[in-house]
Amino acid sequence: MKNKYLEELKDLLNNYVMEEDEKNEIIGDYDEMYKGYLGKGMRDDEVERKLGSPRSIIRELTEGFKKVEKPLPGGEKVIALSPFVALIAFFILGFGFDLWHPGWIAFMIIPIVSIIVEMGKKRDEHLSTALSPFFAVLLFLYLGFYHNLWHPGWIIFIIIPMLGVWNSRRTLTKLDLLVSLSPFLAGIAFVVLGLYGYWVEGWLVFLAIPMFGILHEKNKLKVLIWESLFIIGIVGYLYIGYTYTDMWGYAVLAFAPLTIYGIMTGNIKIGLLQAPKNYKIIIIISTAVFLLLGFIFNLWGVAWLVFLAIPVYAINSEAPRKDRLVSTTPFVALVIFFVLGYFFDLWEYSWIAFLIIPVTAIVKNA
Amino acid sequence: MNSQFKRGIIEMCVLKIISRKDMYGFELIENISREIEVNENTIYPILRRLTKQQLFDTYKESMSIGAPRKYYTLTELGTKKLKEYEDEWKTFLDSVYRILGGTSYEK
Repeated sequence: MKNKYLEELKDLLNNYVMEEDEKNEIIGDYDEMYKGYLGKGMRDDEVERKLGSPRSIIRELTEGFKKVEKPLPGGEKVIALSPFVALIAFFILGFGFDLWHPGWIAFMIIPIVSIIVEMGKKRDEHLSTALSPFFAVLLFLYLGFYHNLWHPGWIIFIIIPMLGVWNSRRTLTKLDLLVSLSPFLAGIAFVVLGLYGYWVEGWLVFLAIPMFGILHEKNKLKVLIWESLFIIGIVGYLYIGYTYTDMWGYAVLAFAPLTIYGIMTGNIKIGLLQAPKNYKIIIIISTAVFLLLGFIFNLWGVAWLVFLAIPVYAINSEAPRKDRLVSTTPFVALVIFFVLGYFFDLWEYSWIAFLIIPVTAIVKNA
Repeated sequence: MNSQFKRGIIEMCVLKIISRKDMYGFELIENISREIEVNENTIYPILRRLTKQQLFDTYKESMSIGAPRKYYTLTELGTKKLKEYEDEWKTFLDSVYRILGGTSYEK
């Protein structure tokens, strides 16, 4: 086991431009530490957990070293030829099969080939992350044009940040990986539940994020209390909501034990009390509007958007003036996207709202 | 805690522990992880980086049983760096104590 561990470490070190002596020194040090732990009566798996798997430590060990570039044979030529190949494919599809649309997609070959060749040289673990926007767009267009599934087809774009996290998994513990992926998984679950008409109670899936996060706590009793209170809250919320008509607003009270425990243990801080006056005002107004929209108009599914006013206000009062516009656009896009989709069922078009983010950034920086 | 901040503190602790007594890698990891809640596999890369920055020197010492061990010892530059870190740390803690309403870290 020790030899296998050291061999894997050596293989990984060989991917970096590093003197042979230095590599051997690192291997020697790990050999010594491995033996040290074995000498203390530890099993191989315990030692490897202590030292960290070679893949999880390689980044720290090679900080400042460049990766060895192994150019793909003929890679540069393939990049140079890709525009011509794309153009020919486009003309063949257009003139030959009258497929000008979606034949234009052939032009995606150009960036895809460049990314594969350039990142392939360094065997970059984020290759699939870099390619994911193209595949997401292709799949999204396919689902939209051929199956009219613009909504919920747009969910496919979540694959981009998810792959980013997934490809960093070697530097993360299993729990960190789960916690990092949970917002995306919760987002997907929220939309899927919404499609089945569960917009109001669907937000509960976001509780999975703190529920996983709490597993970091070392005190098992605390974990048990927190998880139990979450479950009590969820069950109580659903029970009240489904048993009594139009009581979803009051059903939130099922989370009172959780909130009280959080405040008592200092894990939930009532930020409002310490917040500056203008923040207090914006928080109170947002909460009042949220409750008003919920209780009076029964718009619980969309009312949460008013809370976006808090980060927007924070950006506009705290961020440097030059960054404010671009930083605000994600919130504006989210509001447009959700309002158009929720009220007018225009999910197939509303995702376009997100294009204002890069467009604003480009125009601003031009 | 911010990971960069924590990393800086661990660097200072590594320097301090070795300033008291020369140690081999495994021994240092055991020592530091007994005191601080730290991911043990991050300590060796720190030790290595500090050695490359010439804050540590290394020498081998043969053992009665088994292969010789590589010991880390603080260099003059390392001693200077540790002093800098300690001064910064004390100033920082004093400021925190003052903000929190106490008197001083030293007291």
